Amino acid sequence: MAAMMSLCRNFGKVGLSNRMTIGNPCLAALSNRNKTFLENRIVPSSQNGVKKFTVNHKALAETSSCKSADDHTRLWTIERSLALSLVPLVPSAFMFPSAAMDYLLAISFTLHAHWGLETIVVDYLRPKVVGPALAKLGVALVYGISAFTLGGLFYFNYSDVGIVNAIKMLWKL
Amino acid sequence: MDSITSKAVVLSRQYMQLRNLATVAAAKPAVAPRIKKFAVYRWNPDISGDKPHLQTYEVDLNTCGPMVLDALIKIKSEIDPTLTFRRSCREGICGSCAMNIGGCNSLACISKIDTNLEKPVKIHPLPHMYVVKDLVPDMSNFYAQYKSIQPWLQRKDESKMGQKQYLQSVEDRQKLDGLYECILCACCSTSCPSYWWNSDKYLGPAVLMQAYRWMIDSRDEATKDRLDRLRDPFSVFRCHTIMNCTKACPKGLNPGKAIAEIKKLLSGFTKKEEPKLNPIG
Repeated sequence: MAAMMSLCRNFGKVGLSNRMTIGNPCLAALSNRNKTFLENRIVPSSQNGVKKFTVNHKALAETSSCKSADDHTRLWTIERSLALSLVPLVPSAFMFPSAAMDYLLAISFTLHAHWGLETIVVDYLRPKVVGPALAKLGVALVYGISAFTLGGLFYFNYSDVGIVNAIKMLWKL
Repeated sequence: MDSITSKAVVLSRQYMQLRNLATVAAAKPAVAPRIKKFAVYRWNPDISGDKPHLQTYEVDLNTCGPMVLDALIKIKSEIDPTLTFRRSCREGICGSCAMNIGGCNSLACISKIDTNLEKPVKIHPLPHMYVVKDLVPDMSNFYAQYKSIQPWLQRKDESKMGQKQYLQSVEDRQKLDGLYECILCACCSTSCPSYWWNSDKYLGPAVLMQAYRWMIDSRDEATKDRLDRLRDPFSVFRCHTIMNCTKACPKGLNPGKAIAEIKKLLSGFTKKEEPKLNPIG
């Protein structure tokens, strides 16, 4: 552990000065962004069939210093806020039914499901395993399904009884 | 002198009688051996065409220490010297012997052998890691990820570093309890399904807990940079609070909670408090 800590400290000094002196670490980072952490920072080599890994320190320093180009925090917070808001929204839609509530429910459900499905697809359709094309296709499919769902729910709200009424009718069965 | 000598003779005679009693009592009939089966994952890259397979060893628990590591060492020294595994402290503090025992990640040196002789103990290397040989996983990626969070104290002005202690109040030091004790055994990260599927981009609970350890250290001044380095969709946000990590930790730590605190800091829901004591006095 102590050896690793001193290694880290030495590495860190290099990393910090790189950040301050290199012209545009962000550009370098962007070009590396498509590569995975493993491919970029860990360089595998093979000897007797045993995979050995060495660390590409320069790439490690550069790619970690400019993640602000990829700020997922705001989206994540909105996803959780929506999930939280659904808790009072759904009962109140039944307590105070109206066309506006139906449309609000349609949007909320679709958005919540869309983000959930997108996260699942991003988690499991990994470019390293299924290839970059299928990974992008998966995400596109999720957008397609969500668009279809939203359109369908809007149509249902407009020309049929509406979400809340439909559930009430189903419940009576 | 005579009385002392005679007293010594009496005492030594009594001692010999006691010793004889002890040896008579100890000469019991031999105890029936308690044979426990150990099914251990084996793979040797140096044998061409070798495929990973389970090899079963039988160990008499009466002649073996209580922990899984005791059994592994016994197997290696008495039955099969080619069995390969990492070990060092044998007391649950170094993290070398982390492996999957009976489906759960733990340290072999502090995992008691289940004395039920009907069932074998299944021992595998840490899940979803490249295997170097037998029970030895390749930890390079794990260590590189740890390095990437810059696990050292960073201050804006480091010109006088080392001249004086950085002050920290008792309350601020207590914030580090449950974080600093991590031994980087990787039991938690390798129990996380998100880390299995995305170990190249998701940092994993062990590394994230250490990132948090440095974030909330009152003496550290690089909190904003530390957080900014984690804002991409993969480094932190692949955590879906599965909580396998906290369940697996052999030291009883709570990485899942630390990750939740990171998410709170990232989203701005909480802010790092000002240090109760100015570190440079």
